[in-house]
Amino acid sequence: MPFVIFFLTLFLPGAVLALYFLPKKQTNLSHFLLYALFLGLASQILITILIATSRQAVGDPRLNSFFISGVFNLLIIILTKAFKISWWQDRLKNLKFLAYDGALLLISLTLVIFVASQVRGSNYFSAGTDQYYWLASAEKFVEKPATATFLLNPFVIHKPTFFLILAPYIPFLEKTVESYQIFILNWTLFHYFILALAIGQLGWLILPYPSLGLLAPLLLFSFHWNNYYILPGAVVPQDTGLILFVLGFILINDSSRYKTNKFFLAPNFIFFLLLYLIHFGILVMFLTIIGIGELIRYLTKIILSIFLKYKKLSHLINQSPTFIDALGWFFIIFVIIRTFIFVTNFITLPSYTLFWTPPPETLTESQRGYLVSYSIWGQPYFPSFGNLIIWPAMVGFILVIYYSLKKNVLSFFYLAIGGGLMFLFLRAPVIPYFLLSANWQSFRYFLFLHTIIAILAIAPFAIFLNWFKQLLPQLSKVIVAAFFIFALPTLFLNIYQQQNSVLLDMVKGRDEEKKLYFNDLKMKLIELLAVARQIKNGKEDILFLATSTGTYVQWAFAPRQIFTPEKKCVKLSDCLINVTESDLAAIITDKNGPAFKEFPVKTEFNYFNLYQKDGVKNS
Amino acid sequence: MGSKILKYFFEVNSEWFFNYAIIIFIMILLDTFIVPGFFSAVGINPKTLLIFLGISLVLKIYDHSKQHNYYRFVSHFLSHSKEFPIKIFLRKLTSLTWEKILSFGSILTIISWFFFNNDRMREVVGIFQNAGFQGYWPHLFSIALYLSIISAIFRENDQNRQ
Repeated sequence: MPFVIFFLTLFLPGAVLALYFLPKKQTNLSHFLLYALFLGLASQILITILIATSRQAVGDPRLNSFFISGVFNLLIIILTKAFKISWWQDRLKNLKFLAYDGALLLISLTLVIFVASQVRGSNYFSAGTDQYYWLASAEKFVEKPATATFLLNPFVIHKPTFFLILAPYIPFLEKTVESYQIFILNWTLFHYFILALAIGQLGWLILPYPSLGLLAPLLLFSFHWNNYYILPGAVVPQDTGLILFVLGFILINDSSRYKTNKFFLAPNFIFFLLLYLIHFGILVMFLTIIGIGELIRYLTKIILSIFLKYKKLSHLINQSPTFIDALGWFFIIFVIIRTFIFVTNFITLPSYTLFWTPPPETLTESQRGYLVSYSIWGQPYFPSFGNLIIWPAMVGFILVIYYSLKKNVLSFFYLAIGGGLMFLFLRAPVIPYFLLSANWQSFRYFLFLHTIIAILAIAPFAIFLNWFKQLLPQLSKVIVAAFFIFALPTLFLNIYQQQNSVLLDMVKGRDEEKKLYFNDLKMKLIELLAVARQIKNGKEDILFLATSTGTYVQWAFAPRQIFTPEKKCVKLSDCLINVTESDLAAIITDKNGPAFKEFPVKTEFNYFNLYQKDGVKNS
Repeated sequence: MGSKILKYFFEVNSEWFFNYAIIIFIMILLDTFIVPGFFSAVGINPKTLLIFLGISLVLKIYDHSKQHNYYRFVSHFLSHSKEFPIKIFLRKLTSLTWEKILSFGSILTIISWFFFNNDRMREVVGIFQNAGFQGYWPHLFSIALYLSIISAIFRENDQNRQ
C-alpha cells in the first residue's frame, strides 16, 4: 500500500509536471526521472498539507489520503491539459531511451542489489536515531496539523519540513519495529538508486566523454562516508538534500541550455523552494558554490579584458546571469561580508540572529567536537584508493577550468571552481560552521566533497579520451570499453566491501565497548512500544522519564509529547504524564517530595523507569 | 606508418571474426550454464578455448584469403596501396548493429574473464547469487550489465547534451 501512495503522491504528479515543464526537445529517460523526482517531492509536500488540513472532513486517514491525492492529480492533469491523448503522444515522442540510460539504470540497480544481498544475509536493523525523530514528527503532524505553524513563520530559517514528505506514508504503516524497518530500508534503497542515477546523469551531461559518466556512481559509492550516511537509514533530510545537490548542477546545465525558454524558470523556482524547505544548510552551501563560481567567472572576465586585451571572450564568460546565478551572487556577497566580520573580528554578533553562528568560546563540549578539522588525506575510514583518486581530481580541477571556459559548460565550471576551491583547498569544517551556519559534524562535509571528487577525478581522463576520440574514434571506444570491463569487478567488489563494513557496523556497533549497542537499541524499541501500548490502555497517570534515547521515545509515543528531564514540557496537556503543575515542579526540584512509585513494565528487559502516581518516588 | 598499422589492426572488421566469437561465446555459455563442466570434463577449459579461437582465426584467415584472393590484400598492405578496402571496413564498423555490439561485448567479457582468472568475476557473480539470483541468472545479469555498458559506449549519442 505505501507503494500505491508513492505512485499517487510522488511519481504520477511528478511525471506529469516533468513532461509539462521539460522543453519539447529530446530528453533521455534518466533525465526525465530525476525531474519527476524533485517535482514529485514538491507536489508531495503540497498534498501532505492538504491531507492534514482536510483530516476532519474525511474520518478515515487512509481514505482521505487516497481522496486528496486523487483530486490533486486530477487538478494537475486538468491544469496541464494532460487529459488529451495527443499531449502524451507529443511529449513521450521526445522521451528517448538511450543505451546510456539502460547502462546507468542497470548499474544503479546493481548497486541496490548489492545492498539487498547483504541485508538478506545480515541481522539488519537500521539504528540511525534521526530518522525516528522525522517519523515521529510526521506522525504528530498527521494527527495534529496545527503543530506545523513554523511553515508560516518567516523567521524560522531552518525549516524542519522534511517530515511532510514522510507523512503520507504514516497511516499505511503498522506501528511495529518490523514494519518501520521495512519502510526505512525501502526508502534507503530508493535513495541509493536515485543518487546513483543522478550522479551518473550529471556525468553524462557535463563530462567531455559522456560514457565515462557511468564511472561517477561507482566512484561515489566506493567512498565510505557516502555509504555511511545513506545505508543506516536515508529517512533524513540530509540524504534527500544530497540528491537535490547533485540535481542542482543538472538544473544549472539545463537553465543555460534552455535560456530562451522563459517557461523553464518554474522548475528552477520549485527546486529552490524545495531545497529551502528540506535542508537550508545544503541550499546555502550550493548557492555559495555557485557564488564562488560566479565571482571567479567575473574576475576572469575582468583580468582577460584588462591585461590580455583578449577581445573574443568565450560565451561562458560573456553570458548574463540567470536566475540561479543571481541567487549565487546574493549568497557570495553575504559570505564575503560574513568572512570579513569573522576574520577582522571587529563586531561581536549575538548568537541568535539570522545567520550568525556563536563564537567558539561559547560552544559546548560536543559542539566543539564538530569543529575538529579533517584533512582530505588523513580522514578516518578513507578507502585506500581514495587517496589515489584525489590526484586525478586535483588535475581535473585545473583542466576543467580551461575546458569549461572553452566549451561553455557552466555547471562544470561551478562544480570545479566553486566546489573545488571550497572543498579541496579550504579546511572543510571551518567554512560551513562559521560562514554558512550549517553546524553538522565536519565529516558530513565529505558527502559533498566526494560527490565533486567523483566527477573531477574522471575529468582528466574524459578530456584526454575526448581528444583521442577525434584522432581514432573507434579505438578510443575500444579502450574505454576494455577499461570498463577490467575495472568493473574491482570497483564492484570495493563498493561491496564498503557497504559491508557499514552494514556490519549496524549489526555490531562501531566501538568495541558498545558491541551490543544496536541490538540493545532494537530491544529498547520493542520495549518502548510495549510501554506505549500499556499507557494507551487507560493508565494515564503514568510518568515516563526518558533519558538518553530521546528520538526513539518520541517515535514510540507519537503523536504525544514526551516528558524528559532535559526538555521540559511547555504545556502540561501536551505531556505524557497526568500530574498537576506543582507535582511536576516537585519531581524536578525535590527528590524526596513527590508521590510517585515505580511502575513495573510488563516486558522482558526493563530498560526504562516508569513511575505511577500515589507512591514514593524511587530514583 | 605506426599509426597506419594501428588503424589496420583495430579497424579490421569482418564477419568471420564476429561469427567465431559468437561460436566461442556459445561454447562458454554451454560450458558454464547449460551443461556445466561439459568442456572441462573433456579437458577443455577456457584457456584451451582461447587457443582454439586463435587456431580457428588463423584457419579462417587462410580460408578467407584463398576465397577472396587476399594474398593481394597482403601485398596491397605492404605496398601501401590506396585501393585497399579499408574504407569499406570502416563504413561497416561505423554502422554498428546490435549483433556486432553483442559479439564484441562477449569477446571483451571473455577476455576479462581470462584476465582475472575468473576469480573476480566469480566474486561479482557470487554477490548476485547472494542476492537471490539462482541458476543462470547471476551470470546472465552480469553479462547483461557488461553488454549494456559496452553498448552505451559504442552507441554514444551526445546530441541531447549541451
